[in-house]
Amino acid sequence: MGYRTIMVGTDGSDTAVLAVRAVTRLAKRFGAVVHIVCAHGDGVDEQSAIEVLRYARESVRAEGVETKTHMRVGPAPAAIKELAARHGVDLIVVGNVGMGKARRFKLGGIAEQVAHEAPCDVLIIHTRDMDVAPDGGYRHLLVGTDGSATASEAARKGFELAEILGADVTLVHVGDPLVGAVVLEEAAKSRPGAAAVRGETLEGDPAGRIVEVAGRGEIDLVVVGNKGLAGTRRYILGSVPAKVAHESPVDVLIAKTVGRTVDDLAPGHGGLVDAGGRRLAVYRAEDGTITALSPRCQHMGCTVDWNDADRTWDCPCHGSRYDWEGRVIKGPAKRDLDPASLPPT
Amino acid sequence: MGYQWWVFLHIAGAFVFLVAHGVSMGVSLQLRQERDPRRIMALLDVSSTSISGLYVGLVLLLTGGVVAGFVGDWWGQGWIWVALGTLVVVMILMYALASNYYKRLRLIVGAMAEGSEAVSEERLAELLSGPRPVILAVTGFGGLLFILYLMLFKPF
Repeated sequence: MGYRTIMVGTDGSDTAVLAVRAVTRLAKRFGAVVHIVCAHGDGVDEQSAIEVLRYARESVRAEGVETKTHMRVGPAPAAIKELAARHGVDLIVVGNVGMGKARRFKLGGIAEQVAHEAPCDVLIIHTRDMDVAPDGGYRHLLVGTDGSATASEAARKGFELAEILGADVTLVHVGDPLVGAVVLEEAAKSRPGAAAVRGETLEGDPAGRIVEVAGRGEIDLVVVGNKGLAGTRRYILGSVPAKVAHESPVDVLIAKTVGRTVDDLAPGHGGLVDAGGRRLAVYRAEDGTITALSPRCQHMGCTVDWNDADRTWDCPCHGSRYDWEGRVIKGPAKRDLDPASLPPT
Repeated sequence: MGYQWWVFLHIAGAFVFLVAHGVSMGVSLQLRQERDPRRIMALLDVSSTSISGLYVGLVLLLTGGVVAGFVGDWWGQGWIWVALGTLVVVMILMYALASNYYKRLRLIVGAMAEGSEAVSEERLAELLSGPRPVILAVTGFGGLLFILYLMLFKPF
């Protein structure tokens, strides 16, 4: 799991203190550097910001974790996003205050604004009930999946996290029960490591069912992909990660599975990435070698997607399959995927 | 190009369309009897292969039909609009009925062909013997028969 640089925003509030504590615990596990951000000018004066940062830095350092602090003038979400991008942060941690059901369509909360546009994974710490907050020590993870490539990427991150934390994983598929059985089996088969996994297929509203399972008292972290979290669609229909983030009774990890770049691909994995304004099918080999392809299926022009279990590019329309180099291994497509070149960095 | 040639193109397109799509219809009905995942996958692949022919036929029959409508001055009559509307409605209906069903079937039998036991043979048999292929065949064939009636009898 690549959480080497973790960022947390704090304003000295109870919720922020809890987020800092959770970050400290996770950073110790990952051997990560913690960046602490405090923005002033919006309810926090400069002197208070200095005090808040000093207190947070000392509490993190007391646990032997390397720490860097940043103070910015202006809104906290913008500061967190800007600093996260600049320092190559791979996990942002925020408290969930201000993300209740009634505020679903507002852009008020720091957590909400960060979650919608973060350049990396976002961990939302549930701080409504301070007494039962797990404080970063997750033992039971719930991973929501619909079998799509983006959900598989979220599942992969969930499995890797479970492996590091020694946690077990409950895979939840909401939808058709037969499809769910296959999806859960494939997701469990493709897991790295040996985390204990159990599956559950349910029918109904995906976000509602995930929240329901998370609320049974066994789960302490929900992992979902960020598909549907950005863009205008979320204002009209909402999205599974947004609804889960708002309604979950436990912490939520929103894995960045959409809007990824080549840098987000782990070795041995592929995915659709944004590269210079184009969408490309890119595979990163274990040795770091990059293979970039056009994602357009040679049969009818549908967009292929990465199949992590079989390491193939699969066309969802008529079942054509290509290996990681884009060579046809199953029709009806007859020609290999076109090679593509990545823009210079 | 004269009117007869546009009608010729229209009918030739309809032939291509029917031949190509007939493969899918035959496959969908045959699948109801099949239980071997590998054979089912092979049949689904045959069906997928015929899809490109379907679109070629559709383009030809639409081009021929629309232009023949102008050359023959048919667009002032109701039957041609109803025929075009029926084609569009049937296409939307069949896409809605077929795409998710076959995507689902392909995923399940694909996994079973590779040794998955997530779905039992009984559940697969239930899925295969369901009424969806018959509904699809009736919708498609019924729609085409109605269009043929409109073209030949021009009732309004």
